[in-house]
Order: sequence, then C-alpha cells, then structure tokens
Amino acid sequence: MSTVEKPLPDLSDPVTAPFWAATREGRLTVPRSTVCGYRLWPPEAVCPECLQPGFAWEEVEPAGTLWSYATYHRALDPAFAGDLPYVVGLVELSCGLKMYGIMRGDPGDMAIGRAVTAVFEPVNDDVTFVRWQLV
Amino acid sequence: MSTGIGPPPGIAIIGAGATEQGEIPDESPEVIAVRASVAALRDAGIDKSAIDGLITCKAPLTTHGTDEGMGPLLGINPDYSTTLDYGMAGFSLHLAAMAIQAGLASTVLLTYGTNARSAKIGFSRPIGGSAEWAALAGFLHVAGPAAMAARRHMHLYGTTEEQLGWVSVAQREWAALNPRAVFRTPMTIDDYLAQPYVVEPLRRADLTVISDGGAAFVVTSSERAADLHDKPVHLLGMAQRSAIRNEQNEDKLMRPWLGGIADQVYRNAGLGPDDIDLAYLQDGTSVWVLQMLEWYGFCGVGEAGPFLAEGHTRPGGRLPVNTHGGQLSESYTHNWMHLYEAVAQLRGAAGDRQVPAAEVALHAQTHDFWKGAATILSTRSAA
Repeated sequence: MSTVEKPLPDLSDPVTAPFWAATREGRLTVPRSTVCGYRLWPPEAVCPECLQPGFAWEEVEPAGTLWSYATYHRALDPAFAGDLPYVVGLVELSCGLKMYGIMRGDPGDMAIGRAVTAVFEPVNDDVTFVRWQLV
Repeated sequence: MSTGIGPPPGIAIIGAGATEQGEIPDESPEVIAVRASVAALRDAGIDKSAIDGLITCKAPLTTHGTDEGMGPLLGINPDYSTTLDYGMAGFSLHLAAMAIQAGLASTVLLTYGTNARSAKIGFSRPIGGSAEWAALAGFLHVAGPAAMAARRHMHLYGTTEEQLGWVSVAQREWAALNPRAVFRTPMTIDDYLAQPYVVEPLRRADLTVISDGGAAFVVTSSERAADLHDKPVHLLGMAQRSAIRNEQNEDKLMRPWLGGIADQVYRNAGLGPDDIDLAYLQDGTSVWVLQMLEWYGFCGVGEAGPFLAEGHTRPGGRLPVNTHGGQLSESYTHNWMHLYEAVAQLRGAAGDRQVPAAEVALHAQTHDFWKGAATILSTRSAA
C-alpha cells in the first residue's frame, strides 16, 4: 500500500468551500451566478458569462450518466498506487454539467451511457469526497 | 470568430537545426538550444549578427529557456526578442511571421531546448486545467484525458484498440528509417496489443517518450529568403484557435474546435486536405493523431480508425504522417522535431525515409485542450 497521502481540497478557498460544506451533508451543489443565473462547473471566482462575482450554491440531483471514463492501471501518482486499477469517470449530471470523479465498482462493468449516482465518502471530519457508482 | 481570409504570409524558413535526441545528461536546456541554434544558422548560411529577432520557447515546467537566459549565451541583442511559455514550433513560427510582417524584425531565430529526461521533469501533474479537481480524482497525466477521449471515440464510432494501435505502429516503422529516433526497435500490431495498459485503453506506445533535445529555425521574408537559400520553405497559410474556456466548452475531450483551425488554414493557403503530401500531427498521445486526421479532413469524423488500419499513414501510404517517428518514437521535443522533419522532407533531404515528390506539408499542433496552431508549408512560394 502506498504511504503517500492522497490530495485533499483546500477548504479555505472561498470559491469552492461551499461545495465541500454541502458534501459533508451528503448534498451535491453547483454554483449559479446571482447576477445572470448561469450555472457552471468547475467553480470560478467570477461568472464567465456576466463577468460578475457572486454565486448561490444550488443543490442538484446527485445522478447522471457516464460520458466517458479512463481506467488507470499504472500509478501515475503514488498516492493512488493502492487503488489500482481505478476508474476516473466523466459524469454528465442530470442538470447538464460534467464532473470528473472516481468510479466505485468493478472497472469491467463500466460503459458509456450507463446511469450513475453519487456516493458521498467521508475521509476525515472535514472532507467528504464525491465518488460515483453505476445504478 | 475570425474569417481568417488573408494573403499568403510571404514568410519562409531558411534554416533548421537540431541536436541529437534522447539523453543529454550534462547540458542545460539553454546550452542544448544554443547547439541547435548554431546548426540552424549554419544551415541558413548566415552569421548570428544577421539575427534581429529572437523567439525562445520555455522548457515546460521549468524557468529555463527565456530570451533573457538565452541572450548572454547567443551573444546577441536582437531588436525584437520575446519568450513563449508554450511556443512549441507552431506558435513560435506564427509569432516570427507576425514580427516580420509588422516590421519589428527581418530575420528571426526560434529556439527550444529541453533536458526533461535527464532532469526527471515530472509530467504526472493533472492536465487539462482545473488541476485541483483532477488531482482529487486521481485524474493525472495527459494519458488520463486522452484515454477518456479514445474511449468515447470507440463508443461513438466503433473504433478498436487495434485501429488506434496503427498510429504507433506506423510511426515506429518510420522511426526505423530515422537514425535520430529514440525508439527504433520494430513493433508489430501484435507487439502493440501485447503491451499492458497504462491508462486503458492506452498503452505505453500510445504515449510520448520523454527525452532531451533541442531544435532551432531561422525565419525571414520569402523575398529575402530567395537571396539567402536555394531551398527556402514557405509558409502558405497559418491558423490558430483556442479553447481556453476549457471545462466550460461543450465537448472538451474530442476537441471539435480543431476543425476551425483546419478550415482556416486550408482557406488561407488556397488548398485542401487532398493537396497535403505529408502531415505532421503533434502526438503527445496517439489519440491526438486519431482526432486530427478527422478534424483536418483526411477522413470523415469517426472514420480515423479504419483509415489508420488501411495503412495510409505508413511508409508507402498515401498520407505519410510523422515521418520521423513523431513524439511516440523519435523524441518528445514538444513538436519542434515535426517542423524540422517537414523542412527536411520538403527539401528532399530526409534520407532513407524521403517521401518522393513531397511538395506540401501540414504542420498541426495542439497544446492539449487549450489551443492549436497549423501551418501549411511548401518549397513553392504560393499555392
């Protein structure tokens, strides 16, 4: 097993902190501009449509379809050596946005277009990751 | 969107130089770039005192290779000098053309050197932007998004791993004819398929070698080039596009925006895909070749798999691709050697791998998911 720690999010970053606050409660949220209503992922400091700061975090259905995926057989980051083989999926959420995430389940079962749902996995008291599994 | 309709640039390459590729353990990126520059100046038949423009390209993930770092080594104070963080031959070449057309310089030296292999530069950082989100998901190295793009292509169009394998196998066949290539050991399609996955569906052979090496070019106006060199290589058309909104773009991984570069470069040159004798497609991964064959119109979208399996890109094929072996077999050097090879082929100086009667070459590069540049090159000064 790898002794290298996996990366953790920077919870002090105001741009992303609301996301992690919500995942701790098992909720999937995305930022929506309070000025023009544009929804985006990943979060940014200003809205790329109206160029203004200010977002409300909107809860979205923690489900979608697998748009594509990649199966790692080599630990290109030693922190993930103990997880091999692991699958990174690109999930197209029901709301239309796309998110990368680690897939749970048998890598051999993955298929583009399959329905997926979020799995909220706490790694410590402060951080809960969003992983995904086939429905 | 720019219409991109313009006259031929009237710009030519009159000098090309390269160092050996592979392992250069005792030299800095700058010293490697100097050696390539000496070779390019010698090839152009000019003294460094004739250089009034310098465009250097930084070595990735380092602070090496700036113009201010190169100046004291080259011993020149060119009127115009600058550094591109990602110049990588195509972007540097376009900037040189712009500098000449703007009257800022008449004779521009482009340099690049890297010791990425010897310095053990780590390329396993998340790629494609949104680094934090990618790192948290273990989505590392360009192999990740490239594998995802390949998987999607297989899903949409029925492309097979064997078809994709022909990118690497064909380029290995070319590399066998290139003494400079790092990987020259023959590789059959069965050898390819027997390789273990790195990031499935990609294998080792689908990913660039990491190597040391340098390249340099001398660029001037076509008018001056005629007086300086017996075989100048003219730029018939240039085009660029960016996709720097990155994850916000509708289809980041498949890079349809490359089609816009293709349309514009063909229009600017007054040529089409059927006029291209040689294609130099940046191949940090084999998937980029698969995609660019389609977006540059050599086959229909979704048809690159069969196109590759039919052997068109191999030695003797009707569209030789990356005749030096590319980044998959010759060396990394970030696409600079693609331009070096294009110049050699167009001059008829490519030795055992010379493609007969090659007159027009496409040089197409991409900075992964951020931007791309294409140039059509020929020893003819107009289409």
